Amino acid sequence: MDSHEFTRLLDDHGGPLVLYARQWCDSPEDVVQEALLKLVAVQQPPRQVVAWLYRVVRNGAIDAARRSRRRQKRETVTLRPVHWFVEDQAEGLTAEAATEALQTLPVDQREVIVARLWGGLGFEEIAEVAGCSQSTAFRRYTAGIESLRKLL
Amino acid sequence: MNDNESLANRLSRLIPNRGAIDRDSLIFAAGRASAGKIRVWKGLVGSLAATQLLTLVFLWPRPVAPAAVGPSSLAGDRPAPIEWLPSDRPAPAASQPSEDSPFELARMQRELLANEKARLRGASNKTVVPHAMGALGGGISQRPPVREIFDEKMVPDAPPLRAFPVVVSNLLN
Repeated sequence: MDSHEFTRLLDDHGGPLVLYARQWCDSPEDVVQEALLKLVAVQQPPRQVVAWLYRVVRNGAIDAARRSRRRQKRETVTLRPVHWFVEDQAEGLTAEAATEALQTLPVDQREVIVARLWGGLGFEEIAEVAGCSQSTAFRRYTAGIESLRKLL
Repeated sequence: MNDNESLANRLSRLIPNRGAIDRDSLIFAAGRASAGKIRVWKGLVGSLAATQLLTLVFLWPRPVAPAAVGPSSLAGDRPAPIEWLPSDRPAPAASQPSEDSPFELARMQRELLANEKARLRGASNKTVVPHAMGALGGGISQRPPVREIFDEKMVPDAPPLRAFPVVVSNLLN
């Protein structure tokens, strides 16, 4: 993988990967950065780079969430306002409302929606990343969108 | 269903925030990670450094033991006289060259020449007594000594000034 391809990958999928990792952990940037560095360090590049990145980010985010939960038991967490999106609103939809609505969804539905809407993955890739069947992924996506429509 | 698709389109218009990812530092870290973990050059550099260190240790000038200062060393400002060894006396064992060395061969050749010369001189002092003269006996001990071989002239001083053969010159005389 050359530098141009890596830069394009970072520009196109950096934000969605961070949003995807944010569904589990509080430090999604570190998880995404580690995943990108893993991608560069592997000897044989994966066939589906984006799907591979989402899978690595998912595993890293889940591990980071476990570590974070253990740490939160010992420390007092100072919550900072985290903006999930760059713009405040788009097409009459505010970012804050979208964030709050997404946070209400179960994590398995959020995962599929983020991977589908912002990651651009197909349901086959989502099923592979999430470790479920393709129909299950589609069902989670549909249920999640239906819940968001009611909330928004 | 259409409402769900339109909501999905509206949601996808929102651009996810990349957060605190530093793009430049991440690209730099990726470049370092892509370099691989080849440690051959580290071993090579280590071995070269070790050989350099060994070379330095072996070639380091060792301190010379100071010479004892005494009357002999003070008097030794003058150069020591050179003692020439006679050729017939064997040289000290420490400085004696091997028989194959050109110096030893030259020395042996000189010794042989000197011995031969001495032998010839001894032979020239003796009288040569032919057998016939010896058979007559008496009075032959006063014969002149044989000329030394080194004084003998193999070529006459001047060539004979004769333009004719011997027969013709006898007729003329």
